[in-house]
Amino acid sequence: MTKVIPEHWVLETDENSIPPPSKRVCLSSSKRARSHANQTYPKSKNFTQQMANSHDIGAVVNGYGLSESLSHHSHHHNHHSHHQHHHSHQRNSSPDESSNSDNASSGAAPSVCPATSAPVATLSNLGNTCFLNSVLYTLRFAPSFLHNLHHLVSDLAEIAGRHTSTSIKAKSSSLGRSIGSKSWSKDLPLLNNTDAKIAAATERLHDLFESLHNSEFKDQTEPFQPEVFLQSLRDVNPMFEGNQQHDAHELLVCLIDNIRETCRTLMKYHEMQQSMELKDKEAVVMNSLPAVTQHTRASNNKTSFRLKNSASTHIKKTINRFSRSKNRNSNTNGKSLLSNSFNGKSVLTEKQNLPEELNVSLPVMNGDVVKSDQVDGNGELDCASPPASPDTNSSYNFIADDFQGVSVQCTVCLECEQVTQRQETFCDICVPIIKHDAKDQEERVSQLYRDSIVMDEFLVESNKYWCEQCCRYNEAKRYVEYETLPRLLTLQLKRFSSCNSGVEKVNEYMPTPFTLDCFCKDCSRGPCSDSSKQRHYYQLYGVIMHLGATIASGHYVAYVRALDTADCHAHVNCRHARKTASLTSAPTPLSHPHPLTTEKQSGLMRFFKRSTHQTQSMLLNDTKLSPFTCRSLDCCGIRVRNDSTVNSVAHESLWLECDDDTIRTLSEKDFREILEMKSSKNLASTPYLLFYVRMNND
Amino acid sequence: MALTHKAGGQGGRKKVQVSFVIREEEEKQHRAGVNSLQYDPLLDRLYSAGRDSIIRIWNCKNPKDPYLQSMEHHFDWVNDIVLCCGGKNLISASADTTVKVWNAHKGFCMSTLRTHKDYVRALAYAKDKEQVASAGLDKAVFLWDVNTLTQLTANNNTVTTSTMTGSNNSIYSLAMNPPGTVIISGSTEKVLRVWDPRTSNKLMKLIGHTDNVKALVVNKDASQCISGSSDGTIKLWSLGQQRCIHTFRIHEEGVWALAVNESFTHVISSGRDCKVLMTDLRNMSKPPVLVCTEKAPVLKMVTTPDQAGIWVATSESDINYWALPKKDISPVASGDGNDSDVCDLKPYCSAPVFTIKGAPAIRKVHTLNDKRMILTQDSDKNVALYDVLEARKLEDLGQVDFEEEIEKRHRRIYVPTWFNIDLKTGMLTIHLTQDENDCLAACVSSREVGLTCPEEPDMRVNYGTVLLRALLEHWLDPFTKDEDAEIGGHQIRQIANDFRLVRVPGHTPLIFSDVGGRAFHRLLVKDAGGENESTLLKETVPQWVLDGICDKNNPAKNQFPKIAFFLQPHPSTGIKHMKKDRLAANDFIQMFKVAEHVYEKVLGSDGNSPGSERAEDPDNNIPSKDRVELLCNDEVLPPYMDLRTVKHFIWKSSADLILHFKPIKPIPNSTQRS
Repeated sequence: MTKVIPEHWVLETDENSIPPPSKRVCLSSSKRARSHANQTYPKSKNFTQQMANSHDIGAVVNGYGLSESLSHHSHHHNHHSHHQHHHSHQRNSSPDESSNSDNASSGAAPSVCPATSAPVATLSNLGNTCFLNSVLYTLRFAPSFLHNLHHLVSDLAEIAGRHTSTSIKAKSSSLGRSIGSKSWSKDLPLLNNTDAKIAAATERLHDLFESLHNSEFKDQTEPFQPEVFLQSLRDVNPMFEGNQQHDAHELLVCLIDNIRETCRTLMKYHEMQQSMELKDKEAVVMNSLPAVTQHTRASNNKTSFRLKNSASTHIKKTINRFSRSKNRNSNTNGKSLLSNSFNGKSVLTEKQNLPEELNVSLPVMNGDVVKSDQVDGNGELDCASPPASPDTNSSYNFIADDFQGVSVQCTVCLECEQVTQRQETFCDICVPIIKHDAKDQEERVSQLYRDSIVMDEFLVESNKYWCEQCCRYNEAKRYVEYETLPRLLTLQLKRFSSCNSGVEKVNEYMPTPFTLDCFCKDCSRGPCSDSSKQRHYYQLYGVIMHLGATIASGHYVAYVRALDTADCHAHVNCRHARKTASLTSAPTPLSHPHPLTTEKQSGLMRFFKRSTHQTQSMLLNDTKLSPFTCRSLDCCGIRVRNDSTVNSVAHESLWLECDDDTIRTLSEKDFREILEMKSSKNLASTPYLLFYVRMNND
Repeated sequence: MALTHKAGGQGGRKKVQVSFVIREEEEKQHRAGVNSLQYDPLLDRLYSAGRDSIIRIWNCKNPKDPYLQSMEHHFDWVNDIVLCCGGKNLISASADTTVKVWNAHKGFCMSTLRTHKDYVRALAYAKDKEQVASAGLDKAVFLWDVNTLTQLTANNNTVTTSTMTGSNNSIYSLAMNPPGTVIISGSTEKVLRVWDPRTSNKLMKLIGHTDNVKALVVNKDASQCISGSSDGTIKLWSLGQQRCIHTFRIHEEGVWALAVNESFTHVISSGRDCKVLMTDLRNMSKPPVLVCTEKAPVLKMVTTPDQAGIWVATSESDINYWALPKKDISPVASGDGNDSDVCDLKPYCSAPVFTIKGAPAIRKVHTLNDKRMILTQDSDKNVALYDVLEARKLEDLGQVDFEEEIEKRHRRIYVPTWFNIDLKTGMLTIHLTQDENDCLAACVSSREVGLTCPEEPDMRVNYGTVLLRALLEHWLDPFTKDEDAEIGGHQIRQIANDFRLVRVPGHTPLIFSDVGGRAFHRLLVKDAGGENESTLLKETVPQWVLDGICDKNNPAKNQFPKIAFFLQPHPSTGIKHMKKDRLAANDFIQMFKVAEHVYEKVLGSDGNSPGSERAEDPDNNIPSKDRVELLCNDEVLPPYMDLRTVKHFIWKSSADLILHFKPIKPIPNSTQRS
């Protein structure tokens, strides 16, 4: 692993400016020339302290290290040049970066770059943190990920008694939180230290995305410094301490784990709350007080319109839960609940044994026994569901659905042919690097991957299999069947191999398929050759490429499919959506037009087939989103500014090359060319992690 | 048991293991399945190759009591046999990696071929040329000339063989036509490989199957062959056109056995689905006839030359003889439908003509804590008790509850495990090694285990040593008379004393092999004294066995495993004991010895009353060991319990053992000061 020697450039700064934090440079072992156009201060370890100091000074400081007032002034961007890794013709075609090429040679003076910048918010490199940035970019552009994360975090916040609204006022308090002062995760009751840290890390992650959204919202061009998030991550996973490069895959696994644990925490709270609520209900019954209904929605904004529809179902749901958990003894109680209820009274839950969240909103309708199959218009409630079901909890364990799959390892003894199965959940699939034909067509490439993933293994020679039936060691065939595949499928190419000198990187070229036939059990059972008969397929939405000699050194660059969350299906059909438009539902119509240009829309058409009609309606209602919009859009969504002059063919998508704080748009054709570059061992830019999203075959 | 096989000795150093089988002298019945069959029409005899490593000869003229003879020399599954030279010789292939040549009429092994490196799985026979080919999991195919093989002697023991190269996968089936012009192999490669055995040239590959190919037959002029695969299909191939002519999908599971008549008009197939089906090759659209349904997956079938009947071998130990329908018979549906769906077919035979009964195989085993007795349960749920040390069955307990019997016989004794048990042959095979379970690790008190009478002095006895001596008794015997006899650096004579603590049955097979299962030598215990055997043994017996046998001279003898412990007065005694020594003793030391030590050394040296008491005590004939009792975790320890048992069963912790002692107050009748 190469040792990184940060180089700092000390400059004079404006008197009024708050000293920005030091930026350290990420050097890869390939020794590329870089333009060190950065404005730095002497190396300071106490970044957060600096931030805190600047906060004391009184300016509103965001993660950009600059006060807002300065955002339009000095643009001391740190652009890494990638000349050696991109063909010059590609370079020239993206005018965004033309300024960079001027700066390529100079390693001395900082350059003042014009205001044109990346189409989306960027992250800066804090010193070998490109592994972090590439993963953050990928997650940000993972379909529906932001949406799910937002709801997870907001639900937890609610439990902790604070609200995440998208008002400006709250924003600064959220900013305040992100500086490391009091956060709601510390207020979650009964949480042990580890879980609290994990929840904090998840919250910081969301804050980070929120900040990125804000910068897009405000057209800021400064790269965001993910120092706060990194710190919270280090609290949970100390292996990320220090300034070393890490394996991006390892980081991804940690992040997913943390979010999963946070989901579990949320579920725990829901359960706890339910059981408390039940106890409370008993007390209520005793005291003939009105029923307390669990209010699991985020904010206080309730209108009567909503109440009318959902109230009765809420109650029914409560009763169901109540009776179920009390082993059917409570049916009578449930009914008496109704009969003893008051009309139109809200009961505040200042009671001791109830968590704060039970701020009751819904009065109980007198004598209103509701049918259990009455479901709200937008499919919000499912009364038949058991208490801990995903539907009653607003943020179910989306990590499980999105990232986890179930694999079944089957071992067949070759003598008695008895099959032994072992089930396992997995978060990503490791694909071995295999020899291939460079001229392979897309389907062939997809088949190549599929074959290597579901390869048979033979247990032979000295590694025979102990067969229980035969009572001896016999040869056996072992293969993996995929019971279920996650919605977001991650493939990790086996680019590391242990050898005498440690772990070496395998730089062998491996083609990257843009679509993958689904290889889950159901899809494989049918005629394998006829991929069109399968129910779904996987489409590439992100690639993390790695340049360098070993996986834990070098440089990571993320490529993602440009995705504007306003188009996203999940947001539109979000079950948490308000029926009323929220305060800041519309993106600012001020400086830029709505990002849904026709070109963009068509570019994303292929991606979001179903939401066609909705995006149309959004197009029409430029300043007013449809009533069913999800809060997350306004909080941490993505807004892609597509003013690049990249010509993208109408039916193709736009891609973004995210190299720390340098993001540029690419046409799909350009991206394919980057991927197809066959590199010798020295120019070792190789795809390492591939990200796919499941699409249904219509 | 670990799921993956441990690799054999690293660095080229082969650890030799000693094994023996606990069995009756005559085992007239197969256990655990029959892998292959051969029929001798001249003598009306059936040869069967068993998973119990024994090839048996049956007299078909006498169905009531057909057993003739056992041919025993393999020590692992016998996978295939062929009868050659008009029935005079038998060639066998085994999972012990050897191919053996037998005199079929007399039933003895003539020579052993050790060219294979892994299980030998299949044989093929070219009758006209008297050539036999063997193939196995080591991907190798060897061609043998039978006449050369049968003429091998101790002096003339080289054989040249040709090999068919090119196979990259484990071979599970092999076929040759009578003139020996083609040889075909079926393997996990799923592709059939065809060679010309006369030149070893590769002829073709037949592609089509989607899984392992376990059964092959070829016609006389090598124009066609039929293959049965684990993918459930049977394929008829044209070798001339190098392609598959027809695929039969008549079986529901893997096809493991094929039998075809000489004119290649009908093929009988069976496999994992237990159904024996006969298909007319001249009329391939005609559905097959269900000959019979066996009780277990079928491994092999042979027909009588007149096609009147068929012998079927399965993974169970019975061999059935079924009548074969005439060739032009139509399938009979059992239901009312016209569809002759295989599932609805009525079998031609509902019962076999006769059955050669087999015996149940031992399927479950439990070693009792004394590491000497073993409880077993067989496939018929019979439970039996065996003594490993004496290599014999003690008792048949009948169909009792296995777990209950284990519970009943639970004793608080801790003896380290010193042997491994193997059930692959359906009989008890005991392996003695120095690997994971060190054969020489179990030291016990001879009196405690009943090896010596109570009157005799108690000895420290090593189970492994005792057993090894018993197994090699006949071999060692002559040496003890010779004063200067030396083997492996040890003087044999000096071990004469406790030489015969235990005897094992003479018919017990004794096997020397490497840990991976490759055979070196097999003999019966009683034959170890013969001249040939003796010489062979001198080369085969590994040094560690010799060291173990002569443990009196073993310098490592004194390094018995030791256990550390603290010896302290029990809190209730109120004795103040200054020394807090950490003691260590051999792990098999018994509590009475410790009690003696306490009485004589510990209590005495403290200058307390016990010392003076002894002088004045009129009852000083109470032995020292009865004066003190020992406790651990507040439990009084029986005097004959040994230290390692105390640690394992009573102390149970990994921290250092603490023993408390308490003087026993004698009965108040005696005049004694308290």
